Amino acid sequence: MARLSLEGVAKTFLSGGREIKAVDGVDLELGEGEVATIVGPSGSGKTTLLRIAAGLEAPDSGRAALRGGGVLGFVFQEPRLLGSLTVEGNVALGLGSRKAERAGAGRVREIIELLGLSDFRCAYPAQLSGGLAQRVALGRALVRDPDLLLMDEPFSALDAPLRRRLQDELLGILATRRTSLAFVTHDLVEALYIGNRVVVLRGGRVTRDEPIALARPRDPRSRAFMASLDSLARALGGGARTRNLGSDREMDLEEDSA
Amino acid sequence: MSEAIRPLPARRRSRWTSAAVVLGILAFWQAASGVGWTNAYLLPSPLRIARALVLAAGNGELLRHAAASGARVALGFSLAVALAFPTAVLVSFAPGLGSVLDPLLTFFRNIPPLALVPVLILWFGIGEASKLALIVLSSFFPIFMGTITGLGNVDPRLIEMGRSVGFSRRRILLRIMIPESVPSVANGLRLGLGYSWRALVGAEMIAASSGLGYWILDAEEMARIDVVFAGILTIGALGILLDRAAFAASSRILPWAHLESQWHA
Repeated sequence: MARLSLEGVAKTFLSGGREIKAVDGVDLELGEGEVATIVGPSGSGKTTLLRIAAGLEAPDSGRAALRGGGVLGFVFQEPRLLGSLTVEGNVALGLGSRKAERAGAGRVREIIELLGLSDFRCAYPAQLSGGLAQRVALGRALVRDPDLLLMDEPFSALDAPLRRRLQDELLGILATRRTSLAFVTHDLVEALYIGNRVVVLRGGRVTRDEPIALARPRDPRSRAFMASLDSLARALGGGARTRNLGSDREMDLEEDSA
Repeated sequence: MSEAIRPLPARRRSRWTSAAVVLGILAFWQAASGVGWTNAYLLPSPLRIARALVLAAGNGELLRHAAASGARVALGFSLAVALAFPTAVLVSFAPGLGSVLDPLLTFFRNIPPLALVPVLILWFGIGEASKLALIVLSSFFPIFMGTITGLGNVDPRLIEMGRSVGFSRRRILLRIMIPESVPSVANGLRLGLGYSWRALVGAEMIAASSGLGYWILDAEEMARIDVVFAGILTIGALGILLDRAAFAASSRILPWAHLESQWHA
């Protein structure tokens, strides 16, 4: 049974007196434990779709539903930590209420340990590096043990090695749970590395939605991975570019105004 | 070989420099008084002022006036906080209230509190109430503006984060907006405290029989210019002490507000 269900979701924004269709009638279902990566160029509606799924944005038409009243966790592109709280306080914030925070002290410690933040438990956000801060944001989303995790380019501001480490940590955490994940990224390598399924958005519409048939653990330098990457890039037309980052490779979708 | 002398940390060096500058000015002032460059009735020598201070400290006069002034500032400032903070929260959150009240608040913000002294005497009499009202009026706006600015400048992305973890409006206010606005509120409180201390002399001009403002005015009537200066110095010194104490307290209570980001990732 689908955990997240989006039916005919549409959203239009007004910009400079012009109507821009950010999301244009998207149908999408995400099953239990499914890991879907959503890719598309800037302005293709990825973030808007995720925000609608999270209830942060109301669709103009269509429906977004989290089945069975499950718990939802959201990780933004930036950590969005409260400067007045320590790492522990910021993670506990995800529990939603004071009462839950008091009851969930053990759970907070468990998540802090799981994410390797034990040494920084009492540190404030101003004392954390970008990678550590994003890990705290992930902890805030995981602390309620969400049924559905929505992540909006959470690692895009980090350098390649750190990004790979956090991707591996995320996959490790997901492997022990039945959490469904919708992961927005503009990096095709990241999309293929993390997802079991890739959804391509263009101009607010789903133009491709298919499973990723790669065994785990995945090696982005393997022939099979490269072949999938090239196939995905070809399917996207001329809108992809590659960059060499040391021994690693990153393939971004080129920005377009769609 | 002897160890190289390490330079003192910048802060300690600047403190020594400040102390040296003050001592230099005092020495020059004393020397100028000694050779008769200054009129002793207009500008007494530092030693004469120090003698007046020591005398007032010895006979308990200084402590009595400082305590009376301190009590007035403490009460007036507390009243100002109790009024300004909730008003600012209300204005920030009640839709449209801010724009309705804005002309009125701007009007009052631009009136020097001393100009209201006659009205305050008419309304509150010549007792403590009018003095407290003057201190409240002086410190209300810095606290109010600090709170309004702090609440208005909370990063909307943090509010959205609150919504993403299921916070209600009330919880967003209590858990995100108020804590995040604390540095600006603390700045307003610090400014307000300084303003209430500055309003003190004005407040104690209203038929007071104690307080540093009264002590200065009384000394002026008695042609005791050394006591006038002793009173001025006491107000200034206590102002510095209060400001430093407020800063130290905020560093202790709000350590995160004094942290500068060490990372730019």
